[in-house]
Formats: sequence, structure tokens, C-alpha cells
Amino acid sequence: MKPFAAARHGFALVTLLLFMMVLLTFVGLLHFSSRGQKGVHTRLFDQTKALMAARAAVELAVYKYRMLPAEFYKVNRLLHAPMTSTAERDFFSAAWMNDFSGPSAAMPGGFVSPARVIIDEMRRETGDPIDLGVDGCELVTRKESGYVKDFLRVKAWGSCNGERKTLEQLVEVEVTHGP
Amino acid sequence: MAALLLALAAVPLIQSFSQSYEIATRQVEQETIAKVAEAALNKLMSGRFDDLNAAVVKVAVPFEIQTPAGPVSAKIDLLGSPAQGTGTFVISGIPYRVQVAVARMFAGHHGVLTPAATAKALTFSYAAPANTMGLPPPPPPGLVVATYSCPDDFLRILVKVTSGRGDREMRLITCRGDMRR
Repeated sequence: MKPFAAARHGFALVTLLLFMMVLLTFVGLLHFSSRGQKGVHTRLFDQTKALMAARAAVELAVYKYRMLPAEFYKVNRLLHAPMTSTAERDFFSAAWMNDFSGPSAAMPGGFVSPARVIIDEMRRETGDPIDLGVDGCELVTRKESGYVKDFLRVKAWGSCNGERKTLEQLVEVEVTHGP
Repeated sequence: MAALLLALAAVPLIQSFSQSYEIATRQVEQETIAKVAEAALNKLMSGRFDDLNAAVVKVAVPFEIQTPAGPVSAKIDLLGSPAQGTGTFVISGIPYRVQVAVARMFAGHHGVLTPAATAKALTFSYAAPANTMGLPPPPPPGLVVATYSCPDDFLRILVKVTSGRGDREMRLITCRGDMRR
């Protein structure tokens, strides 16, 4: 074989090998990128379900306030009173918040919280391990010149298959304040 | 030899391309299912409570979804007490079927305070301190807690969305209380 022809063959082979390496790198990147995307759909579904569970928890907390506004104000006043002991604070706070937590174990007296009923229904209808709860339910009072405005701040959470979403809602409440 | 080497590189390339295309298509479809379900539920949460609780005549709930190709409009027809409904979206040629099933998770007693009527009502428990202004509140009365049975219905809203081929499905569920009182 002439030296010129051998050099040409060698050049063609090196070009081909380079081309193959580029192709294989591209294939590898595409393959691993596709594999990484596979779990994304399930996570998106679970996150949406968790968000809706949190929304149900907010709805429950706001509805309880709508039904028992005077009692909520009494509890809230007590929680912020300087003379209240820690035991009293814990008791009244827990008594209000018990409806929003849903432990699976039976509670004393066979008490089944509304949150537990909701969780069971959600799990039955969707087949997913949905959970929800309310972390905080407090009154926020804004005082500006000429008016006093009250808001109910609810901080709730929902979870599904390990995906957890927290939702915080500020609801304006109508209260007539004394002078 | 060159053709053989090229073929060796091209075969996995074709396989990877088809796999990647399939995953991307599925991802778009599933994202759309999730968004349609979320949009439908949000719309139902902001509509009239009576349309969900007692749709005596057929109620059409209109709503639209913004897509890269422009807004897509549809409506969900609700009927029943509590309401059941359906609606269909067509996005990029793929139909998305929305099914709504409302149920009373807790049935309100509506002022009838008999044990039978309050048995299925949403019952809240609470402990309120005595209303003694200026004096420290009494100590906690053990585990004595008062209860209150709600007069209104508390609804569970289930939205099921299936895509065109019917092999993809999403069920979203949440609750709604009657906040008019």
C-alpha cells in the first residue's frame, strides 16, 4: 500500500472513531436523562394530592372557627393572657386542635376526630396514603389608626407518599370591637 | 467495517430517541392531567356551595385552562343532590375527561336536634374557659370537653381525570364546608 493511501485510510478511521464517540456520548446522556425523568410524574401527582389534602385541612379549621367564633376568641384570649399557666395553655390549645389531627390509634373514650374521618375517606377513595393536619390556628389582630381588623391565620399541611405540602391562609374575619 | 461501526452506534441512538420521546409525551400528558384536575377542583371550591350540595336542575360550571397554544374552554355539568358531573377538555387533540363526584362526608342536622340527626353531623370539640373578665381563668377541668354538632353539610369533592387513551388517571380529593353562616 502506498504511504498516501494508508494515511487517508488512517484519517478516515480516526474520523469515524471520533464520530462514534460523539454519538455514544449523546446516547449515554439521552439515556440517563430519560431515566432521571421517570420518577418525576409520580412526584408531581403526589405533590398535587398533598396540596389538596392541606386545603381540606384549612377548610376544616376555618369551618370550626365559623361555627364556634365566641369559643375561639375565649381560647385565644386565654392563650395570650400573661397570668395563664403553661398547663392551662396546653390544655385549652390541645382541646381546640384535637379535631385537626388524625392519629390512627384509638384515642381515650373512643374519640374519632373529624380529621381522622376525612383522612380515612380520602384514602378509601384514592387508594393513596394521604395524611393531613393543622399546625397552627391563631388570631392575628391588626390595629391601625381608626380601625381594628382581625384575621384568622391557619397553617395546615398535607402529605402523600412522602411528599409534603404546607399551606398558610389568612382569612379576614368580621368582628365588632368595643371602644 | 465503517458501516458496521456506524450501525453499532446508531442502534442504541434510535432506541434512546424513541424512549426519550415516549417519556416526554407521557410527561406532558400527565402534567396536563394534574393541571386539569387541579383547575377543576379549584373552580369547584370557589363556586356556589348549593351547586355542589343540591344541584336540583343541571348547573354548568364554566372554566378555562391556559395552554401554550392558547386558552382552552370547557364546562362541567353538575346535577344531583349531592352533585355528580362530567366535562371534557380537548388539549392538543387529546381529550381529557373530568368526572366529579360530590358526597356529604358529614350530614348537617339542619336544626333538627335529635340523636339520629346529629349522629352523622360534623361534631367539633372544644374547651372554653369561663368568661370572667379581669380574673385568672379556672384550672383545666380534667378532660371535660364540650362538643358542638354542626347544622350544615360538609362535602367531600372527588375529581377524576382520564386522558384520551384512558390509561392515565388521576384522582384528586378535598373537602368543602358551608361558609355562608
